[in-house]
Amino acid sequence: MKRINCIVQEHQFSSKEIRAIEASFKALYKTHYSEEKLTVLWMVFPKGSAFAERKASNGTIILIEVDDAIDKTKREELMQVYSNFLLENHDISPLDTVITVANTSWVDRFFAAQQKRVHPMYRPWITLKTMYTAITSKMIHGFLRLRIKY
Amino acid sequence: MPLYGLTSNKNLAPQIKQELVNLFTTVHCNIMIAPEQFVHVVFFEGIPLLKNKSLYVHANVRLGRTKEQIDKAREAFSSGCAKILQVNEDKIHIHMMEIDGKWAMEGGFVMPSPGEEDQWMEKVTKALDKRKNSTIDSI
Repeated sequence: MKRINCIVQEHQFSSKEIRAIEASFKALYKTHYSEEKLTVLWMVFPKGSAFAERKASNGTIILIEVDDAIDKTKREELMQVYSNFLLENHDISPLDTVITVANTSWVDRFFAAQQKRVHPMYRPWITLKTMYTAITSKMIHGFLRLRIKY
Repeated sequence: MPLYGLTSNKNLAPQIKQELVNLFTTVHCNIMIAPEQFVHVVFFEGIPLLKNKSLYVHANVRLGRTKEQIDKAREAFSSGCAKILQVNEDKIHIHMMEIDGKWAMEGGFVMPSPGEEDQWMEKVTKALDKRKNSTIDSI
């Protein structure tokens, strides 16, 4: 299973739009890269929690996981495909977008670091809260939303 | 890129967050030599941190910086955060995770390799100026 992690700003997209973007992200992945199962995770930042250029951010930051063996041409094709999709369908300028197509080994280390930051005694509790939020969001809004505040 | 994820054990006041954002932007631009437009800082709050730290900084930065640059930035982040949060430096944890610039697209262009920054900056600056001018024109 591969992952896509999306950082977006609250009020940037409605739940309906997020569901549509997620479906398109999965379709693009399948068409341009792999039919492997893909999980899309959303971090929706409220006002005052995400900044770019010292100001409140309008940025969309996407991390796409791929096999370690991917070649340069395919990696760049994926970046371009996702960038074009956001521009053409959601009017999001490439100037406000960061798209990273990262190897599985790097993405594993990235998520492991998110776990390791938590005090070991509280890890099960934080994991439970994260899972609860994600599952509840999936049931209510139709997408897996990760917690920002605990 | 860079993306700085700041996780605090407590909720932070808006003014404190702004001071931290300014610190990370200034230090990154001065030491890593990058335009401010692309310095992203996000906050996660209320998480009990490892070793009872006050702040855990996860930094995704482009591969290719010298050890001296990394050490200098780490030191500046650590002392700056401690000062802003009014805690000892040992309450700040900095985790730097380097990533190949060629894996990321920003400003509409694949990030440059070390040594190719000038050409990349020129292209991105043109794109930013174009947008700025079109915004002014439309006003």
